[in-house]
Amino acid sequence: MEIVSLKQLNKESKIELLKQLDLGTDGIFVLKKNGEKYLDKSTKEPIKLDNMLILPGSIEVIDNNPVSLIDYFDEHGDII
Amino acid sequence: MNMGTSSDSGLLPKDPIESFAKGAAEGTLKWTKEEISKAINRLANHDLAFIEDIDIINEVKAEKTTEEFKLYANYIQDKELRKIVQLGLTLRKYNNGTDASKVSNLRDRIVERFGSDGLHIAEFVSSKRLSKYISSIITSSSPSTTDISKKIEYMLKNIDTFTMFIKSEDSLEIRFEQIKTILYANRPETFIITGTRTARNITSSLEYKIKREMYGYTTESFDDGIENVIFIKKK
Repeated sequence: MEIVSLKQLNKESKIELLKQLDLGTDGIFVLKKNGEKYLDKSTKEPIKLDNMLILPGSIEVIDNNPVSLIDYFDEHGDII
Repeated sequence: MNMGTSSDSGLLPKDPIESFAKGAAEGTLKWTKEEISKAINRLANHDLAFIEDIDIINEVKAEKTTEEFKLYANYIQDKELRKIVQLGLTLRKYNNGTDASKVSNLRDRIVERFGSDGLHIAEFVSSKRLSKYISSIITSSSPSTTDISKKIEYMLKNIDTFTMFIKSEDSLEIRFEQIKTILYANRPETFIITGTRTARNITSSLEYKIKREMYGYTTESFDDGIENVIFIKKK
């Protein structure tokens, strides 16, 4: 498993990355295709563009916090 | 986890992995649509992950390897409780750090995911009251692992019923009456009262009154100079 730092990607690349995942952004939050805020699966809170993780599995965009990560590892195992 | 080597598949020509390891400047990597498309294919194949920073991931993984977590995991079978207990250890680490925003963010996330009960459980772990509770039930008898597990899970799932936090402005007499009512109405095996700093005087006085005036209960206390925890236990 290789790790890519989203911090180092420029904004345009992040936007294109989300676009190819059928998502978007308003510049602050990750958005669904219909323009609604995309919510973190665990906390049900909007995910900020500068605080997201895109992890393998069913390709999940999650918020970068211990609660969401614990749920992710519980579902997928320590795959990263 | 591979963070220091180049991509051997050649799918990511700009080698973000190497850049990550070398600490490339923030926001400087630019990928083409094709490069991103290839990266997503690798993501789908479990060969790649995009992260913001590695610290939180490492913290979450490290917490599970601590002896304290292993001890709790030995007794706590409920998966959701285990997650909260793990988060309690993370909360303690953040409490001991200097970044107050990390503490408040984590507390908020715990409430969003597990509710206010979840936060109270995490605080119970963070303040080391869980380890004291386990120590208390193990030393008071010789229960089996199954019995200990049942007691711990029952306590955690009913945290607000079996714990009381004493504030410095609380009235000793009113709190004592409340404790009596709870103990005689619910007959819990253990009830825990906690007071920090100046409220420790009140918890100490409560312990004295409980010992003197309440038949059928005994107490055990832990005081580290900051927090006083009294376990009121059925005889």
